[in-house]
Amino acid sequence: MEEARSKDEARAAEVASLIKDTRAYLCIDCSKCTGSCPIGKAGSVYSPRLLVQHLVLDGRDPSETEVWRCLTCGLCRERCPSDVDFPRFISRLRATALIDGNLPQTTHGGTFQELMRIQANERLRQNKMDWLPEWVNARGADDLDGSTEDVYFVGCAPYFDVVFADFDLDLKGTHEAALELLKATGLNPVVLRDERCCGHDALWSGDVELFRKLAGRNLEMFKAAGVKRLFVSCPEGYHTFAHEYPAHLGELGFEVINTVKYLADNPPPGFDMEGDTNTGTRPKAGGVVEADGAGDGGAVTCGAAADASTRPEEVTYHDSCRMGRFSGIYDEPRKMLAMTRGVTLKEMEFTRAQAPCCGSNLWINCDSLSKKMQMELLEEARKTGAGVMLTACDKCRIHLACALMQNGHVSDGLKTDNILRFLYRKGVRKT
Amino acid sequence: MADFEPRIVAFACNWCSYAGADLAGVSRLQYPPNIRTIRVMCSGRVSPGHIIRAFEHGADGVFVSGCHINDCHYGFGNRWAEKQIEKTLKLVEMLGIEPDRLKLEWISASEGEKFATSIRTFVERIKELGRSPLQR
Ligand code: SF4
Ligand code: SF4
Ligand code: SF4
Ligand code: FES
Repeated sequence: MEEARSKDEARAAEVASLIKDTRAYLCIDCSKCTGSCPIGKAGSVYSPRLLVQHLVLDGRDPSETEVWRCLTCGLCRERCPSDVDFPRFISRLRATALIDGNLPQTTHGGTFQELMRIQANERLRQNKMDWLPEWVNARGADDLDGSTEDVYFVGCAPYFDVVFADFDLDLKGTHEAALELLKATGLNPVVLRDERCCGHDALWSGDVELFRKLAGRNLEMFKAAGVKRLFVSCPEGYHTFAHEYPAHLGELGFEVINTVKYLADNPPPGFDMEGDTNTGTRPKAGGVVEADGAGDGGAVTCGAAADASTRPEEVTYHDSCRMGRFSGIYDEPRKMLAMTRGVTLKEMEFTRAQAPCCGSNLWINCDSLSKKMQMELLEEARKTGAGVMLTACDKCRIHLACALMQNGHVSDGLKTDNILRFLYRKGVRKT
Repeated sequence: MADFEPRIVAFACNWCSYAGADLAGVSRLQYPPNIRTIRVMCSGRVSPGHIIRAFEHGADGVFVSGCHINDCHYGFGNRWAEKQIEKTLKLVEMLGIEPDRLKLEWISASEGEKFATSIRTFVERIKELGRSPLQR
């Protein structure tokens, strides 16, 4: 009894303070964002305002609200006139629901939650890096001497490749490409064999304790390695290291660098660098932006006509939430595409901060609404006429591939690719 | 590590393997007491997550058993299990856990003897391997 009461009190206090901190009470009179929330749009009665009303006016417990529904996509935050950070609000609210043992419905039998949890184990020594390019120096947790300044973080792609083998996405290829592209700029980043999950999903699912554990293990390892610059390609990982680690654990003592951003600032040979390449993109009618393929100077010179890499190719680009709305990286991928010969970027109707959500997040709560969002996003991409939809987020690619598989056919041959894999193939490997 | 007694989680499907384990019991067949059995409706219900969780919670080995192929009471559950275990073996290895610590066996309701021998062999193998790397 005693314990139950103090638990209730702790929860009530936390709910009250998070409503105050995020000023979510402003929602009650508002609802401006409801129209932009993809969940409502896909056909559920879900509304951020309603959720706050249930909490504040109706006095419901967090577990009695739709606390697991939100995708934390951040579209509402773009619309909010009161600067309420709803995704942040919901992730803190989730922590209070967890106190009651109110757990989200996990997808894939909880496999990813367990993969996350086991990575917090101190004794874990992993074998997930056997695919690395030969030149990459990979070091285990017991082999760190403070001399590895540039470190590349791979993340969960090797695990995803196993679970989603049927989708044939080659997610490790993203990191192979990233490492090769970084090498082409003159870097020689080291990979840490025993890096842990960054903790992104744990954090946004309200499991702050697990997040802190994972972050602690990573930071300990980075410190032992002597990291000065951490290169990250996964948008979730990048945002987590760059923004959430400092927010939760204080000053990092090293720089977190997004790979695409770094490449845009330091283009490797093979990408045309004629003047300011940003001026090489010119918006055309219908929002189509075309890459200016002209200009020599780059390393792509020999037999351009016969070179498969310079064959004209139309692509579209999806701004994933963690890359775009959360990290503000919109121009850099476009700049890289503009610097890639023979590539035309055909923009979708909703891009950048307005880009739609891929419909699934955190490996929880995936349902028919998710499928609907995924099919709609693919349809938007298809409308551009591009043959491939690029994105920086490989989780988006997984969910989208899943939508296509479930409908039993790969509609109109629209493929997805990771932008780094694509850039590597077009600009460096040239196949 | 002569006195090492492995802790093993054994998932058994309700219709065949759990009955097989029962039969081993009522037939008074001897098998080592190292297993904690978890009954599931079908081997197809066991996800990689359950197995990883068992290792995270201290298991030295995980044993999954179901009906023989074509005998699954839900049709294709054990075929799905086969595929899942194949993936899980890879995941487990990437997590630095010896793949031999995970074993899939088809055991029917009438195979009490097979249940007992499989467990004996598995426990022997785990004893050779020693404590799980996550517990050492
Ligand atoms: S999050 Fe902002 S836009 Fe949405 S209901 Fe609350 S105050 Fe209004
Ligand atoms: S973060 Fe996205 S899914 Fe969540 S309430 Fe806002 S718009 Fe809806
Ligand atoms: S959309 Fe994503 S989360 Fe949902 S079932 Fe498919 S892969 Fe899993
Ligand atoms: S019911 Fe036994 S394996 Fe499916």
